Amino acid sequence: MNHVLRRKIFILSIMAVVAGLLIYGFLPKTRDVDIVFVTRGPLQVTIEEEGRTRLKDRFTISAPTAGYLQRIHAKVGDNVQQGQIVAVLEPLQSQALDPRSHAAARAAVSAAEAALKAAVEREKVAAADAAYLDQRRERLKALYDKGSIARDQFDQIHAEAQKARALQLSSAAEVHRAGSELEQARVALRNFSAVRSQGNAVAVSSPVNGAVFRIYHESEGAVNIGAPLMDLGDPKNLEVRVEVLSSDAVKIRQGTHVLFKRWGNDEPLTGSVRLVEPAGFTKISSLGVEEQRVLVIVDITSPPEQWSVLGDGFRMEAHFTIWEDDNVLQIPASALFRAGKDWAVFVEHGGKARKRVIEIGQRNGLTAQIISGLKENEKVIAYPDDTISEGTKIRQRK
Amino acid sequence: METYRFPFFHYILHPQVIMAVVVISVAAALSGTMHSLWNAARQTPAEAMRPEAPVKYRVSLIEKTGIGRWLSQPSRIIFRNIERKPVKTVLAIIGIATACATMICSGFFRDCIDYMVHIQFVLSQKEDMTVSFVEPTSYRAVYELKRMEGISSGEAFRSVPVRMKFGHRSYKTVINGIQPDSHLNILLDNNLKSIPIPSSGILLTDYLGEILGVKAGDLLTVEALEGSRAVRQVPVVAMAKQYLGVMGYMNLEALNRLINEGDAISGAYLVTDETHREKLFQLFVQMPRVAEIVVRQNEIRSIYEIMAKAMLFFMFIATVMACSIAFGVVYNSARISLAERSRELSSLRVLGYTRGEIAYILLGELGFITLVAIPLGFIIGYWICAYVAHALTTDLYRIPMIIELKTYAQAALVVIVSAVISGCIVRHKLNNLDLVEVLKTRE
Repeated sequence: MNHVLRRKIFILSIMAVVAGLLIYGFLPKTRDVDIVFVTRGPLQVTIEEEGRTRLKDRFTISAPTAGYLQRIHAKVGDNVQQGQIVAVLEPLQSQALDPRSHAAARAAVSAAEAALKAAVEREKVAAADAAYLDQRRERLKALYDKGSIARDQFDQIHAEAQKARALQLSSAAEVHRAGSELEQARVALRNFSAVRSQGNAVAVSSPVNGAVFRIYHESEGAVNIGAPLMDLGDPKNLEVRVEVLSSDAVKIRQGTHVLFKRWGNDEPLTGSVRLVEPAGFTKISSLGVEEQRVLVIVDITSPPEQWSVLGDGFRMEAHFTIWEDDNVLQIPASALFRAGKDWAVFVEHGGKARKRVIEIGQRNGLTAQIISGLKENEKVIAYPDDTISEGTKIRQRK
Repeated sequence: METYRFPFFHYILHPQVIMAVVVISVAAALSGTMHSLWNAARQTPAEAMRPEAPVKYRVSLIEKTGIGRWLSQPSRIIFRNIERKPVKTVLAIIGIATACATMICSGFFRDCIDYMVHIQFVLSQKEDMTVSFVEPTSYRAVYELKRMEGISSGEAFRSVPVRMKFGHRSYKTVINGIQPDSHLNILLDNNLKSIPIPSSGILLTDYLGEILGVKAGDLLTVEALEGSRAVRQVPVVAMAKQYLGVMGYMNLEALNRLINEGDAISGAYLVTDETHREKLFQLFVQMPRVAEIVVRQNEIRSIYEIMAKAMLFFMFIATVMACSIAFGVVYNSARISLAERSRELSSLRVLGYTRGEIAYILLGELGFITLVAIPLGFIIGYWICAYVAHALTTDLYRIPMIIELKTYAQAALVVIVSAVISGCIVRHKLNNLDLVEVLKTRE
């Protein structure tokens, strides 16, 4: 072959190789991405909130009368039977006298003694009167019998004598009264503080079978009427109270299925909403924002053996299922990104990324329901970042 | 976005630097030329005036190995010439390789920042926004955040400043407690596979493991610097590969248990809907409990903005340097060859070789040198970058040894273009060679 031609071919081929290598070097890189499939399956949308267990029925034992409570020996957690005596109240002790009251009481005793003396003397007066009138009546009776005086005179003296007799009896009774008043005054002076009478004690018994949950007043001492003494309840009868935002509470209704997590065991518990209270209340949130909350009461529907270790006031994380479907076309929510006002994903097609606008329905934190735009088993980029755009070459990361 | 803003910024050029520059440049130039200059100066005028002795021709490699049979005559001339002046050839190759290596170094910075950002902000962190609280807050705050309009999902985290001790070494850093099934903060091992968070035990950044001298299985002493100030021991489970920062990672619950605190969190990672992002940002700014809001996109953008300015300028300088070196070496080589062999080349012209053929003889040699120098330049560049990556390892960041294909291609392109341009200039000179004048030179 002609040398010139051969050389030209040789030079051209080297140039072609070099150019080819350069072009290869400058080609856009194939990006490694995570590719996921569009699948069909169950999807749940939940509301999560922290809740607390509480006794369904809580019985607060309070003092029926004011009295002196004997020491409560029961401890929190003890079992009680219905009718078992749980607290004993003795009558209150008398108050001790301060110096002024003591002086007043002593003066009262003196006054009462004087009153007694006066009553005794008054009785003597009445007795003397009665005796005299009796004698006069006798004398006049004798005269009346002889016919010396008129009937009227005799009746007059008879009545007076009776009056005098009645006055005497009345005075005698006054003496008794004065004596009792003296006794009353003397009693007021006496010190009763060291005396405790066991008799007349009031016993309070438990209305239910259950356990003691809280003791308000453990030591012996005087209690007011109505003072709470202890809380009783049935530890098997627990419900969960959850404070839910009012805007979430409207999505929850009676019978909503609930899952309890993070209560201490890995095994989640199931529950069912019993009541969404109709009244909301204001509360400051953990972030310092004022919110309206509503109380939702949930019954635990798992078998009791699973949660027998739970007590009153234990924390649970409640997940309310507000939307659920078994056969939903879905993709991981991380694949979604905004394209203007719409949602879009990157579909893997022929080794390249293709942007597609889609419509989504329900979504929870991890997954989104697809209404339109994607078919089952299509491949989608899970975490599209800034380096991916329409037509970028992609491949599954190993 | 400005990072630094100094009231005045004086650039002081120390005289030592100028001295060093002068000394090195002069020394390099002299070491290359001293031998020849000395010999030339030493020659007596009579000797110097004599025509140059013919070059010693002998059987060269291409004859011995038999390759010569496949090569055309001009090609054989090229290879024989290369073999005859090995030092010059090698130095030219090294020179051009250095130009290539310079370009690779500048591209390396861009590549490694891309890679670091990719690992940290795309593979590891997948949240859109990170919200941190003023002080440790109840776990309930996460529910509140997840429910806000525009937030698609969220995960809580706890960040506790600690002092880690192992033997006589200690280091003050932070332990991040994250949720065990976390989708938003993923720890990667050396093969970039995700490491699951252990239920107890701690994961450390690989560099932190080096600093403390711990490996998987050792028992690390941890002293909390907030809250209960508990001092505890915790087993090291694995090392995570990270390029930015050094810290420890634990299960959120395990961390809280370790420092004797209930369910407290320091903040949350959030995934947000783009259309609500601005509104959410404003909302968070108003919230009394929120101390810090970090948007991942903005973090990436700031890194690039800060780096970009420095990097672009550096790349510009490097490109200018590489071009000058490549151009200089090739052009000088060619020009000197032309001056040295103009008589031979003119003789060949007289013998009947075309202009194209003698151009091929001269430029083919240079082309061969360039094409050999480029792969060598890749290797030298790689070594330099590896050394830089190793030398700049700090606890603040580590540099990954990543060079993209594009960087190599760019370096090769710059060198090739410089060589081609200088080659064209030499060709132009060659074409206008005055044969008569050259041939008049006395042999």
